[in-house]
Amino acid sequence: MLIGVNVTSPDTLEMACGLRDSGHVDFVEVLIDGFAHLDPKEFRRTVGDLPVGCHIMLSRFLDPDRARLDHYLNLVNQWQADCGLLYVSDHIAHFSHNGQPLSLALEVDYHAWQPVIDSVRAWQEELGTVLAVENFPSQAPSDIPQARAYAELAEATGCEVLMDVSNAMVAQLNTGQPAAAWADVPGVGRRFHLAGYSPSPTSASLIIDSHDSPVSDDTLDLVTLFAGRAAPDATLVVERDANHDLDEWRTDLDRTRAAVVAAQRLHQPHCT
Amino acid sequence: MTAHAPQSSRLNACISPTARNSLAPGSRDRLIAQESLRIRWHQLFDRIPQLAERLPDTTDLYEAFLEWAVAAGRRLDWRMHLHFLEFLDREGIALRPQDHIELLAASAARWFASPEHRHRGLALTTGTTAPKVVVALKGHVPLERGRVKLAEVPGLDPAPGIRWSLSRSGDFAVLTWSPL
Repeated sequence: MLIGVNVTSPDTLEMACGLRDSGHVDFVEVLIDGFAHLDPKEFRRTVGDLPVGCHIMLSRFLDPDRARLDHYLNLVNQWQADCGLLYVSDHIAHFSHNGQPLSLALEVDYHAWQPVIDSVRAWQEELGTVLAVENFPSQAPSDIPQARAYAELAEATGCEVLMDVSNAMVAQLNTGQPAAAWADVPGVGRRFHLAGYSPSPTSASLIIDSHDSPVSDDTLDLVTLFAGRAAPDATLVVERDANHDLDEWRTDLDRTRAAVVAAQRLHQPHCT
Repeated sequence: MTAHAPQSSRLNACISPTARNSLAPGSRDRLIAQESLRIRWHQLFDRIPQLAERLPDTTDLYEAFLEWAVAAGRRLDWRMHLHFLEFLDREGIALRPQDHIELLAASAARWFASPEHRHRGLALTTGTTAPKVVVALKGHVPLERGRVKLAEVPGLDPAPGIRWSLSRSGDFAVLTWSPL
């Protein structure tokens, strides 16, 4: 399994290069939204031979706008050609409402799932690659389990699940849906994320996927579960999007690698 | 069956305090809406600490701003601080030139994370700041961080309203001003 970090802007790319030099990461995942103004050949020169995964935040393919989708499609194609991409991943969520951006992405309604399946199929066909779609850090219970909905999605479209292990933990804490249930979902097994989470200042009963704190022990226990079943060429990103404490990030990477080693599935091309 | 408010009500509640108040007190839906509004409060005020400190009551003002933005169709993307400036003007709240600069700089900083274009440069000005403009520049190479600075544009006359200009290359060879 390749272990990497996310880079969302030039600010964090410098840290990622440091983690590459210290042997902590085997690849980087670029949030393509934050690098749209740059030549991907320059990015390749900067990261050297490090493999690159691609994450998309705001294509909003569930709320399709032709110009916006074309923008992302051109970006992905250009980065694929000039930088090479391990994978392409995107999100299923509401990012806006009545034209107004939402400050917090909201979960879709699994009772109205068929339009989502249709949208994933269409976006995946346009991208011309297997799309990995991320599970959501649920905030409220639903009588249709998210894992069941994603199983239906993966079977209908052939997409992969970008299994965000800590999102599944957040969902478990907020809704009671067991995170381990994802282990049997079709499409889970090649693409993984994890990050820290924390209680909301609004109410401690609401857990937020904050990406600003150390990874929890519960998340790492799940990593061992998923890594034990993962494909040999699987990838796992340890994400940080705020409070970029390099020591904490490095420690999270070490702990994550240890959890993967515990599953006896580690491939460490950059570590001795 | 898990009891939820209709999805449109839940989404409305994430952008409008009035819609939030229509959700059942103590409900999970209302808690999520409150969390959304809390995050937006920080997105707005964390980048303008000097102005926030001078404002009499940020909670009431914030909620009034959100209701105005929804009713007036103002999109709170990277332009949120520009619309807040517009709102404060309409409310008759006296702003100093440095308040304008702080708001324009906040908008410029949010523009760095705006995903929908490939432009490298953004310039922002108001009648109060002209002939100075706030300029945001994304880096030429992956490790070059974005910069926000105050610059003077010879010949830029003060004009009413808030204006912005994008530059593909970031050299601002041609400044084509768009009104907010």
